[in-house]
Amino acid sequence: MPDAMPIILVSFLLLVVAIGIIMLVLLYQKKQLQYINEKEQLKASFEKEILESKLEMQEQTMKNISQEVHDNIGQVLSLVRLNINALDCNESKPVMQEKIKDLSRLTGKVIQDLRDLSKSLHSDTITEKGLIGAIEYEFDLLKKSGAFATSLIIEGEPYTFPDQKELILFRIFQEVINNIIKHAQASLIQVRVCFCIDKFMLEINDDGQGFDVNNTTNNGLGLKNIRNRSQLIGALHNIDSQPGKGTMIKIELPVSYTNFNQAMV
Amino acid sequence: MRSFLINELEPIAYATYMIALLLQFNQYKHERHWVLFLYYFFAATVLYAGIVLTEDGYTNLFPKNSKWHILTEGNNWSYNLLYIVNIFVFSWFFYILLHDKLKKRMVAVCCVCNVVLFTYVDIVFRKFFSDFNSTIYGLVFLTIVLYTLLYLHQLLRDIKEENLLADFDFWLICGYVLYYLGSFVIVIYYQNAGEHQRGNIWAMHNIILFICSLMLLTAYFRIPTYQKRPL
Ligand SMILES: Nc1ncnc2c1ncn2[C@@H]1O[C@H](COP(=O)(O)OP(=O)(O)O)[C@@H](O)[C@H]1O
Ligand SMILES: [Mg+2]
Repeated sequence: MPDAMPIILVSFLLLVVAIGIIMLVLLYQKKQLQYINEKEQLKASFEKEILESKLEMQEQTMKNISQEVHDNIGQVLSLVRLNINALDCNESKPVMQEKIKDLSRLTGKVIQDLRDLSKSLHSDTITEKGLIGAIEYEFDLLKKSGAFATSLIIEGEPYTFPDQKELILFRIFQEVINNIIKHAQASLIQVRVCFCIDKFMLEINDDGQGFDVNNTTNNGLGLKNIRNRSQLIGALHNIDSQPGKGTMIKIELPVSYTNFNQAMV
Repeated sequence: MRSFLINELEPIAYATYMIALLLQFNQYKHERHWVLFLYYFFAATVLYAGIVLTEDGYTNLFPKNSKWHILTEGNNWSYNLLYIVNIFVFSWFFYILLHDKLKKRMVAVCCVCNVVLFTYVDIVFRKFFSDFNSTIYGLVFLTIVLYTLLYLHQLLRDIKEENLLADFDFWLICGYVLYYLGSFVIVIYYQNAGEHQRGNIWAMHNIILFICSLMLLTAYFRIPTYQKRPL
């Protein structure tokens, strides 16, 4: 009966489409499962990286502190003892007074240093001080060591990132400084931090011996971590160095509008 | 029963669509659902007006020499009017839903082609009031089917974590694939069918439309349970 033709045809067609849609849903759900798994793996590896950064940061901070205790506080206390031993009761009163004043000043400095130190031991540096505070603290230690001429320039109104991003940024900063101390034989360290409107930028220059960036034997765990981790937080990294020409490392993290807004509140 | 399928089911389906879209708009305030609601309202009104005005009692509503009298001489204009509105509404709707630049451009091109065709046939050749051209009508349906396929392709390319079945637009568009593909075949057959067969075909059209609208309304009420289930 040809009269029923269109009806049969349409019914058949729609049946096929319906089956197609059901298959599409099943396919979608399969892909979705895959996607969710991948995302969870990514999240797990992100968390692992965060944890590692945290441990490394603490280790580095400990090292810095032990250095500080040894170099600074130890040094000054030795000086205090030396001065005490050299005190001669037969000297005239004004001279004595002057010497005791000096001693008191030195002891005061040690006390202040110890206070700072105990504070920095207390706080989970990065969450308490924020990225810029942590960088400034680290930079102060560097300056105090007196081994380098230093300059720190901070541009723009500081805003904040989520803790994890700040932790990673700080850990990168630490590693770069560490490398300079270890390998560069530099005399000048320049750090520029820019809280620009569209991006956060961290640039660290040294005038040391430099190295061949493309030579893979130069790729230790430190540089690899810098690359991986800046990618992980969505930052661009640029490592620029040539033997004899110093080293420049730049990290740029784009600021999304919402992020910026959050920072403004 | 046959008369019910041919006559009453269509407005019921339109009403069901309108209810589902209104509920959805009321809850999530997406402009596109409001526009579709208006479209169905408009379509129902125009089709109804087309039928009523050609009934005997209304043929004298406008004086013979008035330019409005042509509205009562046949209801082809109502279908042709819907045809052009259809193009605009669905092109806009999918233009909004699709993210991809290429897909957006395809929608725009399809829209322009259809509008050009409409201008050519209905305005240049003055067929707006006199003719119901089922071939170009079929072409619009095919265009909308193409839009839905673009959307489904986008779905598969851009997997999200939410349950697909909790997506109102997904149900809406699944209904459209079924309805517009069916309508395409129906409208092609319709022009060559006899009086009785036309009735059958039209009943089928209405049944598909009703099923799709019911599917959407049911989906609206089921969505909260789908949302709770992860997959
Ligand atoms: N600022 C720098 N100046 C000179 N050489 C550097 C500097 N930073 C890194 N390098 C070179 O890159 C190599 C890799 O560094 P890194 O990945 O941090 O590993 P590590 O510090 O454990 O050696 C270093 O061994 C060093 O030769
Ligand atoms: Mg290193």
